[in-house]
Amino acid sequence: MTPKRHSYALPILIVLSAVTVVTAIQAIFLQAPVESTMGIVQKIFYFHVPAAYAMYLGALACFGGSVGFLLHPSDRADAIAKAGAQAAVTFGLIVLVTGPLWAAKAWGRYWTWDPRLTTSLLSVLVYVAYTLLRAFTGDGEAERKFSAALGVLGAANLPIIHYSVQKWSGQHPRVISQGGGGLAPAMKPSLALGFLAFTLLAILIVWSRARIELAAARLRHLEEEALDAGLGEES
Amino acid sequence: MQAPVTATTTQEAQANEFRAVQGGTEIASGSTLLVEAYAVIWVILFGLFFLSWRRQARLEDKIADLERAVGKARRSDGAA
Repeated sequence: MTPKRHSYALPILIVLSAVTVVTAIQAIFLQAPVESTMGIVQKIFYFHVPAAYAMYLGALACFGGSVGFLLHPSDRADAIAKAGAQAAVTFGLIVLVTGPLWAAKAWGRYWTWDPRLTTSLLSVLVYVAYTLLRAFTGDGEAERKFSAALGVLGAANLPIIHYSVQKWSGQHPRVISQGGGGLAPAMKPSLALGFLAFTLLAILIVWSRARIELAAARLRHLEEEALDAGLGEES
Repeated sequence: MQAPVTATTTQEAQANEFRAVQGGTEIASGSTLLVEAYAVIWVILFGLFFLSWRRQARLEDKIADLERAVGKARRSDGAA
């Protein structure tokens, strides 16, 4: 994750992500058929579901980094946890905005306290809390440990979101999950491209944000060195 | 001869009252909602990428300044 070792990997990932996103948009709007009952608004689905999956990826990165930090405290593990939480918030916001916009057409209202919607909202709030905690309490050892514990606990909600539709039913569609009716064959390539695009975006966001957090950690160490060297003033 | 009468009747009805479609749940146009959804996705993603790029550039500048200052302080310590 150090900039020197992966100097080409990040630009390549950026280009690959951009190309995949453009290809996905082209497939969604020009190739995927319009759904018979909902009409064009159903096309939100091709980014809404992959965004939810990308939120899981961010949350898993946060979980992995947090476990790593609790076992062997390091700037790298902490940076991955922090970047994962930021990715989870980003994709969680996309899910929480695009879902209600679809629901406005499909259900006739923006929000309902359906089990999946409620558990998704709770999960996003956990990662918002994590991000705010890190933004306002600094990077002391105690804060980092407390955040790591929150990162581990936050992941506990992920299986609940996933199985909430099956366990407690509710209004949320289960087209591609177990017991669902499935997708029309012509819609599948667009959804697959959506998943690929959001997987690459999730990796890109976690990677780039972790690089920033590592640079911030390097800056903190340099400030300590500067004080030791008698420079006397933090920049 | 019937059509103009119907059109006039419809115009008169529209002038007097607004009625919702019976049994419909639509509160906004599907196309508008779709555009809003995609706009939000791009605003969030590009916003994040812009903020990340700005923060990375700021951090790199600060790190370069500090490295120069620490190196200079060490060299002057060594010379003394």
